[in-house]
Amino acid sequence: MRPPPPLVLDSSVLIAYEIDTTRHGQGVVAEALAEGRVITAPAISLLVAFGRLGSKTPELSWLAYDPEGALNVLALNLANVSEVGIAADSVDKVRDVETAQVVFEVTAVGGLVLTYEPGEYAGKGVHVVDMRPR
Amino acid sequence: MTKLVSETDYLLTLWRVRTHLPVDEMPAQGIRPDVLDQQLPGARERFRRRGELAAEILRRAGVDPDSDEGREIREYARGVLQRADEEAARDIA
Repeated sequence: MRPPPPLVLDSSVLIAYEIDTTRHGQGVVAEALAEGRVITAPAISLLVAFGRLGSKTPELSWLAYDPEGALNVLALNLANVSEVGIAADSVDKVRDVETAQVVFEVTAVGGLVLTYEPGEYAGKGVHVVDMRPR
Repeated sequence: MTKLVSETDYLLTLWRVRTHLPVDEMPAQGIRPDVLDQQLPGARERFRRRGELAAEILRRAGVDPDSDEGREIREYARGVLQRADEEAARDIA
């Protein structure tokens, strides 16, 4: 039996982790961590989240910079930069580049996206979990 | 009920993520433990302390895991992770 797939958090989840008063974002990360799942986020998703949240990000900063490493940040580097650039719908919009990196990372490692914006990944051929409450 | 991933599976998955290696391309014989420790310094210890870290996340959020709110949050979280496992098992090719 295969282990559970790596979870890739996009900017919508990272933003909710900081500001969602229901604490559902923290709950999912804590539960996934307790189960021993690998939790990741593309560097561009962090960029988008920090950009949208502004300077007050105590919880997201703690998660991202924590030396214990709950969150594995996936860099944009020579291993993926050409594929992400080519796959992006537009490199003029950072959200499009983020989506391209999320799709690249999920595809590369057989993971799945956790998101509050599932429409971003429609037709991209990746596994998506809609985090919105049912 | 919290499902648990084995330490070996955690390390192998983390190694795959860091190396961008698809699950189908994992060496059949796996990766030697000493190689994993060399390439993922501290990961084994972090795995063993994951419960403490999970509790710290909830504590920072001001959530008492044993409260009604804490139980509701965990129920939601387990539902999301169950959907994740169901989604991962679905063929989208």
